[in-house]
Amino acid sequence: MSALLTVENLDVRFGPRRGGAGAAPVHAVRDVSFSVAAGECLALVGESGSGKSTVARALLGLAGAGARTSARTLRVDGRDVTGFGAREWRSVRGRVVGLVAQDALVSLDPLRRIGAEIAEPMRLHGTAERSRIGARVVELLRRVGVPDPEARATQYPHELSGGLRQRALIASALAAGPRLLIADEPTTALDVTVQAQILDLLATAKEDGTGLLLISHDLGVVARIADRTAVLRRGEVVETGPTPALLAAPRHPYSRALVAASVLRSPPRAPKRTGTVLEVDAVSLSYGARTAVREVSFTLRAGETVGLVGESGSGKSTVARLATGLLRPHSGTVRLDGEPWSELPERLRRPRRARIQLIHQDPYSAFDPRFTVSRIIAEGIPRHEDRAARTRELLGLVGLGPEHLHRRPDQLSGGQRQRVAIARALAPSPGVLVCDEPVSALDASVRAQVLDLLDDVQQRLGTALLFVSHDLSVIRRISDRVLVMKDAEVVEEGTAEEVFDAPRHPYTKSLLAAALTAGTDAAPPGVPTRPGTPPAAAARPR
Amino acid sequence: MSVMRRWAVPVVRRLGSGVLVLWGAATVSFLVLHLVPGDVVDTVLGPSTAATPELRERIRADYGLGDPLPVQYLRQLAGLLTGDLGRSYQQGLPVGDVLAGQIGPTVELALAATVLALLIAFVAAVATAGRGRAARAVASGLELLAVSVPSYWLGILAFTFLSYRFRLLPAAGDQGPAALVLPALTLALPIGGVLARVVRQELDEALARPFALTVRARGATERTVLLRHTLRHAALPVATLSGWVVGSLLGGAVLTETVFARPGLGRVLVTAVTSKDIPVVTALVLLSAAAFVVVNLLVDLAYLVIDPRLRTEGAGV
Repeated sequence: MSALLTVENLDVRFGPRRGGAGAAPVHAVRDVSFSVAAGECLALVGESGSGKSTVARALLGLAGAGARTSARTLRVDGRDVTGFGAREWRSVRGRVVGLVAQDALVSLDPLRRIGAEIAEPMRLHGTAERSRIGARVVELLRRVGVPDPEARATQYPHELSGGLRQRALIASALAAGPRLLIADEPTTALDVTVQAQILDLLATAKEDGTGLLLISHDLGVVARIADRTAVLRRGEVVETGPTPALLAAPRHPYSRALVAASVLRSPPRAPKRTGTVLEVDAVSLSYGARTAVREVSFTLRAGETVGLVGESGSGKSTVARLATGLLRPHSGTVRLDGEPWSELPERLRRPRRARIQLIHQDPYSAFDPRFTVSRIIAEGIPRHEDRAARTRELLGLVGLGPEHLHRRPDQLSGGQRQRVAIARALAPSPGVLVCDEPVSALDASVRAQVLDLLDDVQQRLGTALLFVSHDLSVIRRISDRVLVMKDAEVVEEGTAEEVFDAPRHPYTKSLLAAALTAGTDAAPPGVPTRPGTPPAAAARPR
Repeated sequence: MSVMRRWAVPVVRRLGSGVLVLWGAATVSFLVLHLVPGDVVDTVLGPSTAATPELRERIRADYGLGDPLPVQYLRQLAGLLTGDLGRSYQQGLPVGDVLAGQIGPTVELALAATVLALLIAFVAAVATAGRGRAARAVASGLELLAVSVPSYWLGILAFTFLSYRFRLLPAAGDQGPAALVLPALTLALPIGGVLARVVRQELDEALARPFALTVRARGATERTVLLRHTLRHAALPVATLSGWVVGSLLGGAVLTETVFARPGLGRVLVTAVTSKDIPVVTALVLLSAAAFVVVNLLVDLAYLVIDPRLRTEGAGV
């Protein structure tokens, strides 16, 4: 196979050239070499900040203003692009190399119709006659599996579901018939069943002879589609190899850590304390004609974790908000500590609000950006306590030191921010922590640490957790009992072992099946399952 | 949701709130007239007029001052609904006649200034968005100058040079389009300066958003990215500022019309305020309120045209 893309010794630097004022130059990509052949998929994996997206943009000559790119060889479809000027680069973009950028919602122009977005590459490169463009758009939408393509072409991105939006973005990248497709995190933020469909679509493009450069932090996705994988760490490729071999026997310590972190291990659990802290009894809520939550019931005991899993729009976040008393159910009741909760007026609820605390997916937007860590945490500490001492105690509890006290949210990493959010939630010594997708925005290794932390906190303090997530592997890792939600209803409930190892409801089965085809839940081949667990619990669906 | 319904609902809702605003303005002007200490007749006449007893009696009868207040109030509202704005007793004319010949020149001036301001704003912003630091510094400095310089001074400067010294353009009057150029430019410059800054900031922000990367990755030139994609994003804050623009135009018209000796509502307002011709002032207040209502309605519709995300019922706005 001839190489469609050959990269040798690619370097990308940002910042002042030399001795300039301000920040020191950042060497974002160092000495990176790889190649992609027609019909082949190469995956670039690494954690956030490792330079994956910068590599992708450099391949299009779009590394950004202030970026300095150099390479010994940069060949795209037989052309040496190292000396390319603006006009030559434009003839490559879209026509030879297509880009599926991260997150279709923001990567499509929100003010233009899907059809216009897909037509644009054809107009720019003149690959279709003007009169034929409309038909070509419909044809492309049909090719990427969008139902009712004529109608969809006239809609705007926000009117489509996440999966259809992603398909439309892929269609626009394919529109001018590029030979190489760069897909940057194409399945992140999608539900598992949709993830599987998008991966199938990319696999089809690959079979048609398109070269595919896949950028992902998700090893499950990579295992499913990539022929070869390159592991990127701080801008450097530390290891390249055939995907199955690399995932089964990573040689570099960083690859090993990455593979290990992608498998979430449950530590042995201490027996649970009894005593019900939260009782949700047949709560329902509808918005107009749409039912968001229908007759959902469950109880949460002290020291226990109940996992609430479902796809987006299933109503799981609404249940979390009903439990915290941020929404009032139209029927049914919520009781906290055995006393009425949901039917109380807010004035009576307020003194007891400290008992139930909420952790968001994105602590960055939940924090006041001008507050320091110490102020963020101290705000939640009851007045009569010694705030300074308690703040330090809480920081220690979540594994941060006093050096973090005076930082502001933008001076912390994603994982540190989520630790601060946990400390803030624990400040008033709550009996219940409601966690809404708390690890969804985190890298695998950080995600594992935060889950360990929540476990540890629970063991020490006996806090009950209501844990909401779309991610089956996370739910399995953290939960004692699991509720599966679909279309506003709980369709299955049971212990984590029952639900994951012997699902009864067809929807749960399809969810688990999709997770393993998408690979997000399956351990990469060859990785030993967690040691010391009984065979029944270790048998992951595969 | 049908297209008709999608547009009819917001239009009707906003028309309703517009009527409420106008009603409020009429009510406030009625209350002010009657709550100001002193005889209503004196207030209506203004301080400098020595009125005959017959005229005083006529005012009393016109306003129905013998009737209870609610009756007077309803009569005034009814009058407004039929287009009766009252009578200026200082000029001995119905207010409608006082304003009639003046609305045209002011609307002409305001429209010309709006078009010019938008032109200045978008040309300056598009030419400098996403460019190097030097071009932006120059543009930004010029805009700041345009915003900071008092418009009447700019006007005086303009006609001193362009009209008297070089005799390029007429300095006063309203004969023909040439006479409109200087006043419109004077009025437009500060507004254009502010809008240019807003448009450029929005353009820069849009250029940095992920969708702009997608467009560039399709092989588009920077100009295509700007003109076909981000310009529409930049139109949103301009629509938001329209209320402020109308206010600036009304305020600016007073100065511009005076400096350039143009007929128009601004001059009428100055005269009426100076001589305390209360019926004329009241009518102008109502007229400004109506202008704001109409412009805001148009702006809200413009939002829906520009941003499809706002068209969904219950979302946004």
